[in-house]
Amino acid sequence: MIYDANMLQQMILLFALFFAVSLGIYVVIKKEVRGTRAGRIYVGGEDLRPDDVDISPMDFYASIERTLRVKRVADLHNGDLSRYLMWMIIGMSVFMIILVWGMAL
Amino acid sequence: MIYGFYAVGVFLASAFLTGLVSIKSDRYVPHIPIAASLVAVLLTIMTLPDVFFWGAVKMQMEEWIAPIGISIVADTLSVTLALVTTVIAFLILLFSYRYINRNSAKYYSLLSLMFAGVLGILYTGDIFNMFVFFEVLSVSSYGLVAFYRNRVSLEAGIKYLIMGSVATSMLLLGIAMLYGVTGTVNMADLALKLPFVGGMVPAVALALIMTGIALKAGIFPFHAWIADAYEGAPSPVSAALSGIGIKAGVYAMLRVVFIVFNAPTIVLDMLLVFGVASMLIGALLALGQDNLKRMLAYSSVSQMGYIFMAIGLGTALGTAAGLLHIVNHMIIKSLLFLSAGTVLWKAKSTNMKEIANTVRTTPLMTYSFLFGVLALAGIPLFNGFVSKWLIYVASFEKMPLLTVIALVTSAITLAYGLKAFYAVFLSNEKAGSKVVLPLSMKIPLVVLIAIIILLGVIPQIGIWLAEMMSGSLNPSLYTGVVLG
Repeated sequence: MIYDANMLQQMILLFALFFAVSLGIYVVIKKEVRGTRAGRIYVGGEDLRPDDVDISPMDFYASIERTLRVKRVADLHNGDLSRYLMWMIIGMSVFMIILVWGMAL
Repeated sequence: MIYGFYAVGVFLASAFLTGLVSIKSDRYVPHIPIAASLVAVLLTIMTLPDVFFWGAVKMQMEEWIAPIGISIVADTLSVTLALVTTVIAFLILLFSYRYINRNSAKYYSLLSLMFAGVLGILYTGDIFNMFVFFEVLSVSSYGLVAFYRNRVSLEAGIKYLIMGSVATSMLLLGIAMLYGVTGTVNMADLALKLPFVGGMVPAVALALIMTGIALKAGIFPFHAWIADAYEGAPSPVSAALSGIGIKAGVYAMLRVVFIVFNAPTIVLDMLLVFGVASMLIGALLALGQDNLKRMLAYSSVSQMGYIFMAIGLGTALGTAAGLLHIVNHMIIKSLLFLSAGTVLWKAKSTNMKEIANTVRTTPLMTYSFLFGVLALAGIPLFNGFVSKWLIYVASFEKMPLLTVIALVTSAITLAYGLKAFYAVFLSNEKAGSKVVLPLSMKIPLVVLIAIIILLGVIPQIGIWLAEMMSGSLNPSLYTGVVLG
């Protein structure tokens, strides 16, 4: 047997239990909060309108994208066919060099 | 008797008949491939008992003995992938029933050819036949990618055609070199003869074949065509390309590396390195996307990376994990592309912001995409968790750093998946018109969700399947069956 599936199933069941309990707590809390008054948003001494604090899902990971230099990787994928073909040739050359060298050993 | 192989003929007949029927009327065109796919599922199911009892069975074309005649081989790996392929093919064809309104004969004919090509690759025991079926798959895919005939799809089709042609040329050249030094194209016979061939020819041939197949499988640095092709193609075609098409490349890579070349350590190490690079680069590219289909395309590159990394580990658990992830990714990515298709059906753009402004989604659309994202990220209760967990365990046994990279990539997967989910499905409550899905689009989504949850809640099924499939990569079993 390559892996004990029973242990994995126990983990899945534990996760399901944890998820169900968390969902239950969330529902209970949300029910209690429902009747409360909505006030104005006051952050760091500054009055904000709801629009100001509404984070667009598209920009939510902007800081992570900046940190991981996603744009730099994306810029390399600019749709230029000759560049794509060049990568292919480089990839093939790497395969060739490693295999000819490695299989000769 | 390998009944499943006749599914190739069934799909070829479907491709021919759709064209023939369309001369009279387009009305009954979709019924032919849908019926053909159901027959293909039945034929594949009929193959299962023999294969799971014996481990592998073979059939010779026209009774010519191997290695002279063409061998058709069905083992647990090929037949499992064939079953998943035919079921997904049926669901994609059903989904297309209302999705494709114009030029339906061309569409269904090309899609049937594509499925025939994939099944041919899965069953053939002959490396030249594998090339021929790759051509059937590729040529039909080029047409399907350019199906809409607008600027985006034509550009994608031409790029895919050029890159694909270079890749198949390399594949053919590699096969020719192997034939030149061994005098055979039978994979089992090649496995027996290659150890006695000296010089650089086998290594050069393997590099050329791997380049050709790596492009089909869409791994880094051969992945560039994927985003354009998936974006330009109709959504069911993207589902077919991602769910089925690129898996044919992975399967061919496994057959060549494990059976023909007996998995040299240097090749496995190379697969591991390229797999890790694919995994990370694909995930980063997906995170930076505003375009829903391009995001899913880069996500496929990333998931291919997981598969190659796991297989490159070279351990029994790693190989089994990689094989299970192939099956799981086939199902997950089909669900994601089809649920994206339900939105794109009415939206005029593939940009996530613009989709949200034009289409209001239904709960089935929303939950199908959400479940797909959670399964893709490897969250428990969904099938992706089982294979990813096995990949984590297998990589931890070999090199813990790989587990860390895989976990970080899973976190990025969840991030871009939820970003798309929130942008497309949760930001559109007041905007746009509500989409009413026909039953032919609902059934594929419900079936795929059910499979994802079933395989996620009962991991024993996946692990048993993985264990059975990994036995198929044993070259002595394969050569024993084919050459008697």
